[in-house]
Amino acid sequence: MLRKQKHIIIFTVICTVFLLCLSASHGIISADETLPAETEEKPVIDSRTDKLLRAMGDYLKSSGQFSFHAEINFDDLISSGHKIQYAFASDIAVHRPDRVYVERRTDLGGKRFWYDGKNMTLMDVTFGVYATEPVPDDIDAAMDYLMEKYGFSPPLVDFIYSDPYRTLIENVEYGFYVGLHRIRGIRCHHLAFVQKDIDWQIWIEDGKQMVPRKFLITYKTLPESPQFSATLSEWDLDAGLPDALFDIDLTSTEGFEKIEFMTITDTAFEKAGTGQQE
Amino acid sequence: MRNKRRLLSKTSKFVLHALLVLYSIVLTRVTCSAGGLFEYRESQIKRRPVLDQRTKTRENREVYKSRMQSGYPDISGSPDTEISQEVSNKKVTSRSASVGSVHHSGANTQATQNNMAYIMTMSYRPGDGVKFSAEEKEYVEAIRNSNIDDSLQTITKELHGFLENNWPGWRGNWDDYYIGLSILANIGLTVDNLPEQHEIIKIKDLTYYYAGSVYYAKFRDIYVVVPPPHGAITGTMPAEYTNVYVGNTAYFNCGGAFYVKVDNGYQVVAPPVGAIVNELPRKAYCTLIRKNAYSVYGTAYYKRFFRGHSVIYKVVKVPEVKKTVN
Repeated sequence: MLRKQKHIIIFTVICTVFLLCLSASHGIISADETLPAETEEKPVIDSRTDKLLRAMGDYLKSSGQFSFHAEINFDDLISSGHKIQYAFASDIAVHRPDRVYVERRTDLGGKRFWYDGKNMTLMDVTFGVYATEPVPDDIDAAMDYLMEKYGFSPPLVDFIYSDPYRTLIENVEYGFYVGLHRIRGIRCHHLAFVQKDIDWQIWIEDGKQMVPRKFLITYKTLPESPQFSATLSEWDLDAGLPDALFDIDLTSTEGFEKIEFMTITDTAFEKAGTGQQE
Repeated sequence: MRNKRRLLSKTSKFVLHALLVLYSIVLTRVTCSAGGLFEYRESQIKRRPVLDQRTKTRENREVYKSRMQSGYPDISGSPDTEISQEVSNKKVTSRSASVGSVHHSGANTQATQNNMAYIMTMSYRPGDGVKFSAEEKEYVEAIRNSNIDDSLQTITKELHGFLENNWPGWRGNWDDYYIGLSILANIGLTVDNLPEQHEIIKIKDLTYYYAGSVYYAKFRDIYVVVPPPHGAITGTMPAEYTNVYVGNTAYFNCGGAFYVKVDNGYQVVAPPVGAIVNELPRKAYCTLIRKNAYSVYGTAYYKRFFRGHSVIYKVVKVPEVKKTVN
């Protein structure tokens, strides 16, 4: 009998504690709801993560000219709905403030891109075609112009801009430190960031040479969440890049057909335009 | 005593559990070895893989080549389409005639001979990637040299004229259209009889017949395979197509022929200017007009552009002056 009473008492105590907890938490939540929402809008990045990313950006920014190699994998969603991974290797050379050279060897063909401070040229070696367009006279403006007018940029353009930290952090909502992880045997700080449409991660070399060793983007709002992943190597931040690398004489393109770029408006028209034809 | 009972109860529970586990293991083994899981896996392995269109095309080409090279073996039970069977049957008859066996089961022997000759001359051209035996080559050359049958030459010329009048330039690129869709028929092939199930389509003065994704037109007393005629409305479309949008209109690009959805089916239309495709039909050829390079396929002129990093092809208006570069 006593044992039964004891059980009843214990049960009553548990129920009371549970109800008290419930009401208290509800109160806290209600109190939270009354707080202004502005705190949620600020990007939340822990100081260590921010410091490391800034240090990497400053390190690249301090270099007048540099080059690196990238092994890139990216997913493509084909019409059947299957996610297919392609790969390409890219060599990138930057001479601030107004020269860029990019060479790509890809599963889908070879391409060369160069910017000489006046014109931007894209050449598809596989198809034997090239296109050239006048663009603004510094790297940042030229890259913005390319993206706005033609909807593309060279791969890993974030590291080509004059201030990589500012470019990378621009739309970040949340960032955190993941840990010390190795990329091709090199110990790196692994950082993760969240944006509205993408999540991205970066591995920054732990040491004096704070260069990015890996960069991963997940396009989380696209079907199947395709990824772009680049492993960066052969960093040379004191590269003596020859002028000839950027000043390519177009007469050397003999045998290549000159074609034009489609602008973003052309592409938009093709997808959902008004039905007007050329 | 109480402890003893507990111990006994625990022991019996343990034994019972052990027996149950053992039983389930034995049962699984028996099921697997009896064909359950293993058989399923086997069937998964043995199942014929689903091939994509390009792979299928290659496979069909191999079949096609091997048939050609092995002297047109018996095709009964062939997995190919109705049209290909019919065409191949025709070839069997034709070849028998060519080697002088004079063994025709059909009443219209002369027509069959003409058909045969025509099929051979129209289909087999040097450099089109299909290899033939010396005997077959010799035969084709003989036909080409017109030493066999004068009436054949007349019919051939007439048929050329018929095709050229209705589909100018058909021989340059269109003739590979159906092969591009994995259908074993070339434009210009002739057959005595149409497949049993076919649609009849009338456009202006011409009557077309549509069966198994292939369009035919009547020529004399036989039927000739023709390109998809603009304006034709069919209940079904070739299975292989890509979606193309121009403005708000959705088109279906079937290997270079464009369709739109209409109330009573799908209509063949002229290639819409502004349409963008990632790949050209295989037999498109290059033309230089006023220093501008175009790719031509059927009645469509394509021009290359960069869309972002990628090279794409856009259907443009037909340029006025033409000059062919190889």
